[in-house]
Formats: sequence, structure tokens, C-alpha cells
Amino acid sequence: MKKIILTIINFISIILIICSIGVLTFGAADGSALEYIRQPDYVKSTSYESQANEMMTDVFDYVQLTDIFEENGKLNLGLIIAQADIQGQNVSYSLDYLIQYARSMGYYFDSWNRLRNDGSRTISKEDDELNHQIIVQYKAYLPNYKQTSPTDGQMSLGSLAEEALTYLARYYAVKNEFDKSATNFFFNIRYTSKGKELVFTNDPDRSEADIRSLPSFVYADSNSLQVSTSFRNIPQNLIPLLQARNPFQSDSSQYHYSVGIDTSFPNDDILKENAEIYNSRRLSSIYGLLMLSLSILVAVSSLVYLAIKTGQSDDPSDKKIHLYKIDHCPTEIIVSAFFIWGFIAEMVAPQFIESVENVIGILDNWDFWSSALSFLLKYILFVPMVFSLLRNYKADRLWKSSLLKKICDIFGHYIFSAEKTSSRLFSYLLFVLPNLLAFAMVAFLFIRFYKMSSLNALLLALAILLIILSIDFYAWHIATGLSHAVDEQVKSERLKADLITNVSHDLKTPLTSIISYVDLLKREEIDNPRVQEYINVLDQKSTRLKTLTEDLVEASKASSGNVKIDFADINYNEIVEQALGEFEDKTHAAKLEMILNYPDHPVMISADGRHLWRVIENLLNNCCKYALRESRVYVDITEDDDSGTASCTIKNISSRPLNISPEELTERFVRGDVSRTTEGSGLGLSIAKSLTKLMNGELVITIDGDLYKASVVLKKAVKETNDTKD
Amino acid sequence: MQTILVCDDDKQIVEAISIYLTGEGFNVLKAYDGYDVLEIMNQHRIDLLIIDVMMPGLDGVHTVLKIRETSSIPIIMLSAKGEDNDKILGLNVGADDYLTKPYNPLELIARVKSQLRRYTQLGNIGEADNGNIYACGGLVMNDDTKEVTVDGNAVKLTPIEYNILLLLVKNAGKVFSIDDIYTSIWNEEAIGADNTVAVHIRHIREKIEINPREPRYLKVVWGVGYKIEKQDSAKK
Repeated sequence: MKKIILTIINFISIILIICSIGVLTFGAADGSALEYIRQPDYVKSTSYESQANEMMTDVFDYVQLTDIFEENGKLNLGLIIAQADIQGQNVSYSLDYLIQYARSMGYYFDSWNRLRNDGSRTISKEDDELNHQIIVQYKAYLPNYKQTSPTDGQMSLGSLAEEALTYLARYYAVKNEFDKSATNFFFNIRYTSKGKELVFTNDPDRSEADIRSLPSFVYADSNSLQVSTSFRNIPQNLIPLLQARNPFQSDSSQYHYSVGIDTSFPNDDILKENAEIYNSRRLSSIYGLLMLSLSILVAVSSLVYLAIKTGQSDDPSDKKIHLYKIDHCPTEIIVSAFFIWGFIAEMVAPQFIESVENVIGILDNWDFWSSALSFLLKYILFVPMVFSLLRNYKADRLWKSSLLKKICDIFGHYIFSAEKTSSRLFSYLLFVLPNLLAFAMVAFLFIRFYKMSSLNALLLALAILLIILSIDFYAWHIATGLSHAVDEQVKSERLKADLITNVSHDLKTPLTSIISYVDLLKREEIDNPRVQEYINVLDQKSTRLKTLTEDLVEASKASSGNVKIDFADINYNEIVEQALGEFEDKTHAAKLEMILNYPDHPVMISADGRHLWRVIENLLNNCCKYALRESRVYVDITEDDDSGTASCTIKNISSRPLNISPEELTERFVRGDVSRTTEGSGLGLSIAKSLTKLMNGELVITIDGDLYKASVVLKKAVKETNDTKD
Repeated sequence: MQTILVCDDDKQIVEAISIYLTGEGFNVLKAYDGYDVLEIMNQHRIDLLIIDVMMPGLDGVHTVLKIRETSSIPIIMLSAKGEDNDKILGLNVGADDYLTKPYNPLELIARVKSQLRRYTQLGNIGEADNGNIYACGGLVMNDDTKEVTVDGNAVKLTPIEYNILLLLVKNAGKVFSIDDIYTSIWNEEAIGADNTVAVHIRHIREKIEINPREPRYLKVVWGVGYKIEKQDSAKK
């Protein structure tokens, strides 16, 4: 739940980041946002300075253009603005005429006093070019203009009108700019020469001193090199311009240049407008930056938290990494899905913005919107992708779940299993070689397709690729299925073995204590004969329990095949003789006469000596327990060359009638005496049978009246018999 | 007084063993897992360790491995695991003896004494350069005096038993078949089925082994013959 909320917070903060970047780009256009924050006062900002600098030089345009176009403070329409030579005749053009001409060609002034052409004309451009060619000799707006060659100054009347009107437009612009009632910028330029004085000012009511006492001012005069000013910078060309515009051509002329700005901005002008814009932009920059840094902080911290917590359960005690369904996709699929989505987002975002524009009209900063949208779209999938990879990484299955590993596995499996089955050549021929061939072919066909753009090659390549991949995959599927089944089998065998080990441990541990403490009890001096009798019973039964447990564990191991068999060539005669030697005491006590018969040459069999001893031991034990006292027991070793086996047969006369079938006898927990009073676990024959079977042999029991016959048939060691016979 | 450290996760077993050992005059320390053992061994001088294999925490095998890095005291392993592989593992990691549960407590005591005797008293006998003294682990045969001792205890053998054992000890590690032994001892060909040798061998085992069913010295190689297990008699 916490994670969902955090995810939502993260996305909201990302949207906020985009919005704040938007605010910064729109609100703080031209000029860095930091600059706005650093300088809270517009009057001290660089943008104010550059605006003021621009106006300081504009002043000279004002001076010059009013000088040209005005007479007695008013625009002189009758001003002869140009003189030209038309086929030898000298023609003068008044300003009024040129305005009329230009208007007929479609020129007009827009509200910002810029010369425009709207195309509605009575005199076309071609007509003008063809029929109104003139050679200009004099231009009022360019006093220094001089014809240097006869063809110089050849132009159409339209071009002349356009040129002149451009200056007129500039006149109107500066006139507006410095109009006394609509500006906060005041200037006073005074040139003096030999008592004559010429003053240019936009506000005659203000004296030079008034202007200089304004908060922002510049004062320069020809007497001192220093310019006194409140600005950090003034235009580089201010002094040269002052000198160049000097109407008195003599060296003794002097100039006084004073400009000032009323920074309380009482009039609506460009400066006031800029100040307002500056303040509003400054505000939005502050908010934008604040929002940006805050939302970045939130976004990063929530992302980091999510990255740490992803895959973990809300329950802190649960340390497991939980994977979502999507995480089980191969790594490459997840990554490529993201890239495909990114590609789609890149395509869709501009189109979406376009269609939005159709609804809500043209948007400024189209680029910003489309890149913001595409970023957002990518981000929506990027975060889950990264988190999915992160979860996989935490669960340590980034590589395990990748397709690359699967492919490596397929190849590795074939090569490995080839080594295991020692049919490497076979597997190489069947798998590796055809695959390499197929891939080589596909590569060749692709090159062919690329070079010759043959569609057949492409189709063939795809078909081969498809076929070989499906064959590989199918083969791999079968192979892994097989090895899986084998693994399962091995695992269940191991489980069985583990179970036996554990159960026997759990049985034997308490038994150890019982035996020890019964023995300790026996050592105590107890006068009561009844207690001693009880202890004796306990002693006997605990010993019997010990035999039973050992037999039980052995029986279950033998019957489940969890016994290690080390086959060796052993002498049947020897082992039977050894066994009889071990049993000498017991048979003697049971008053049995053992009669052993074996061939005069060694009978070599292939068996595990320790297990075979266990089998014979069990059979001889049975003899001692159940054979008729003072009878003979025959132990015969015989060979059967036809089946390549050797057998040891133990024959004895049972002391009690055997009312049981031989098959039943070898069942677990079945004993010759149904009352089960005698000692023994009833597992002896069962163990003997299982062990014989594990040694590829057979335990055959026959009952003929009171004659009990048990024979252990085992395979002969092949080599040895051949050697001895030869 | 010799100190014996007993370790088993079953407290009653530890208690029982300690009763026997105390009765025999040993000083007994008790531990219930491998970590206890390592800690006690750091603090006390221990003469012998009896340790269970299957224990929670640090098991017997790992404990013994750890102990063997620093100490060479006798170690007897107790385990409910009776497979050959388990025994081999236990002996390979450094145990001197391996006893499977459920064991006879008297056998355990006998083995403890045997290990201690060998470790404390008989350490140098194997190195004696006397040609007429044959040693194999705790089993020592002096051919001059015709004396046989096991872990320092004299053993009485009949002349035939003595000769059979001497043959096997002289050729420790070599397997002799019944026929081989017969020809060597009686100096005549074995004729027909006769379990005389096998019976003698069993008698020898009963005299020299603590548990004749699980012999330490005279081993039966079933279906092949008999041998004396070759042992590293020179102990530090």
C-alpha cells in the first residue's frame, strides 16, 4: 500500500518537474532564471542597462531624423527627399510623392512603425522594375551620398521609395520612443561653437541639470574625457557618435550630452513595460526553481526508496524477494519492450500535441510540449522496467532469466551431454554442425539480400532460421525433459536415503541412552531380587531392540537399493569357509555338524564380499536357530557352467514343521515360528534376498517336508573362470 | 587425573558416558555442541575428546577439522551413521576411532582407555629399531620373548595363533587367503574343506580386539582372506 502511494507521489513529482521546467522556460525567457533571482531590482539588471544603452544611441537617430524630416517641429511632407536623372532630365521627388507611390505598390506602416507590404497594389513590382528606372543623384536622408560614376545610383522608383520610407519608419519609431509624454527617458544634447548654440532635447522643460539629477543618467562633454554615469556600461560608440553628429564643423565646437531615466517610470513606455515583465518573470523564476528543486528532491527520494523496497514485502520479517508476474519474462524481453515503447512514444508524442493544437489552438513552445510528453510516456514504462530488473537482480536471477542464458544452456547442454554420453562426435554431427551450417547459410542469404536486395534470399533465410530454431528448441525440450526426469528420480532416491538415515538416527539415539542406563542400573547394588529380574528383562529387550533397529534400517536400505555395492572377484569357497569359521562357536553350541563340500579349484564369483558375508551370516544364523539339534547341515558349493553361475546351498532339517511357503518366508517380518517368541527380527531372509538381488543374484528357498534348503546363486566372474580353465 | 571432554546434543547420553568415565577415575567435562567444545578446549587441557557427529550448530566433523588445526589429542567419534562412507569421512577428518550408536558402553570405555594408553605411554614404541619387535598401532609383538601386547596389555596366544598373527603383522597390509596361511604355518598343502584357519583367526580376534565384530587390527577380507590393517604406529 505504501509503495502504491509512493509510486503515485513519484509520478506527480515528475509531472511537477516538467511543469516547473515549463514555467522556467516560458516565464524566464531570454536570460537565465538564476540571474533573475540574483538581481531583484530591474533598474540594476543587465537587461535594463542594455535597453538604456540602446536608447542612448537611438537618441542620435532621433536627432538626425528629426533634423531631416521635420520643419518647425512638424513632419514636412513637401520635403524634397531625392533627386534623380531620368533620360537626361532632372527630377525631384517630394516625400509626399514617394509615400503615394509606395502606397500604390502595397507598402504600409504597421502599429510598431515597421514598413510592410500587404500585396494589394496598383503598380506591380515588375512594372516598377521595367518602367520606372531612375538614376538617383541626391538623397536627403543620406547627406553624404555622392554619385561616383554615371551608372551609380541606378534603381527603380519603388526601391527608392522603399528606402526612403524605411528611414521615415525609423523616424516615426524614435519619435514615438522619445515622445515626452510617453517616455521616461530624457535627453539634452547641446553643441556650442563660437557663441552659437544648438540644443536637441525631447523635453525642453527639463534643464540639463534636471536630467543629470535623475536616478539613472549619463553626462559627457567635450571638456573632460570622463563620462559621469550611474550605469555600469555605456555604449562604446557614444563619444564617436557625438563627434560625428556635430553640426558645427569647426574644431572649437563643444558638446554636452546628458541623458537620464526617471526610474519611477511615470509614463507608459518600453522601460516600464520591461520592468513589469522583469518583475513577473522574476517571480515565476523563483517559484519555478523552488518547485523544480522540491519536486526533484521528492522524485529522487521516492525513487530511491522504491528501488530499495521493491521486491520486499511490507512485512519486515519477510526477507524474501517477491517477484511480479512480469518479472518472470526474460530480461531481454523486458528491456526491448521498453525500447519499443520508447520508440512509439517518440512517434506518438508530436502527433498527440498536433492533435491537441487542433482543438485548443496553436501552442507556443511546441518542442517543449512534445519532448515533455514523450519523456513522460517513456518514464511511465522506464520506472517499472528498471524496478523489474532491480527485483530480478535482487532475486539473483537477472542472468538466470535471460534469453541469452537459455541459448547458452541449449548449446552447453548439447556439448555437455555429449561429453557425458561419450558420443561427442554423434552430438556434434547431429546438433552443433547442422546449427553452424544453418546459421552460416542464413548469414550468407542475409548478405545476399542486403547486397542484391533479393527477396527470395530473405524469405529463404527466414525459413531456414525458423526451421532450425524450432528443431533446436524441440530437441532441447526433449533433452531437458529427460534430464529433468532423471534428476527427479535421483532426488527421490536421495530423499529416501536421507529419510532412512534420519529415522535410524532418531531411533538409535534414545536406544543408546536406554542401553547405557540399563547397564548402569545393573551395576547398582540392588538387594531386591525382583528388581534385578526386571533389569535383566530390560537388558535383554533393549539388546533385542538394538538388533531389530539395525536390521530394520538395513532391510529398508537393501530393499530401496540405497546400498553401495563394490563388485569384486572373490572366491566362493574362501568366504564360506571364513563364514563357517566365524560360526564355529554357535554351531557347536547348537550341536550341529557342518559338512562343507566345494570343488577343488577356486570358484570365482563377482560380488561384494561384505554384503555376501551378511547374506551367508543370516542364513547360518537361521540354521543355528531353527535347525534340528544334533543333526547335520550340508553346505555345498556348485557351479553351473551353462548359466555361468555358482551357488552355495545350505540344507538342514527344521526342528519344527514348516507350514509356510518359501515365498512367504522371505517377506519382511515373517518368521518360521508364527508365535514369534524366539529372538530375531524376522528380517534376516528379507535382507538376504534384497542384498543377493542387488548383487545380480538370486536367493532360492525350497522346503521339502522338514528339509529346508536355501541357496545363494551368484554370477561367476567371467575372466577368472576362463583363465583357470585355460 | 586425565580429563575427557564428552560432547553430544543428547544430554542423557553425555550424562551416561560421564558416569562411566567418572567411575573409571577420569575427570569429565561436558559439551552439547561443537562451539562448546572449541570454547572448552581453549580454556582447559583436554586429554581425550568423545564427540557426536550429528549435532545442531557446528557438527562433529567440522569441529574435529577445526580442532585438528591446533591439537593432536585422541578423538573418538560417536555416530548413529553406520555407513562405511561415514566412518571413512570421520577417520579422514582426524578422528582416531569411530563408534556407531547404539554402542556398548563398556566398549566405549575400553576404547577410551586404549586411545589414552597409546597416546600417553606407547607413543615411541613403533620407532624402536629392534628387528624382532613388530608393532602395528597398539599391537606389539616381541619375537624374542614371544610376547604380545595390545595397548600395553599382555595377550596370551597359543603357538599357532601366535604364528598366524606374526605372519600377518610382518606383512601388514597384505591379504593372506586361508590356503596361504595354512601352507605357511603347517608347511603342507591344504586338503579339502577345513575351517581350522578361520576358527583360529576368530580366536585371535577375540583376544586382541575390543569388539571382535568390528576389528581394528585383524580384518576379514570377505571371500579373499585375512590381513592386518597397516597403521601409522609412530605417533607424536
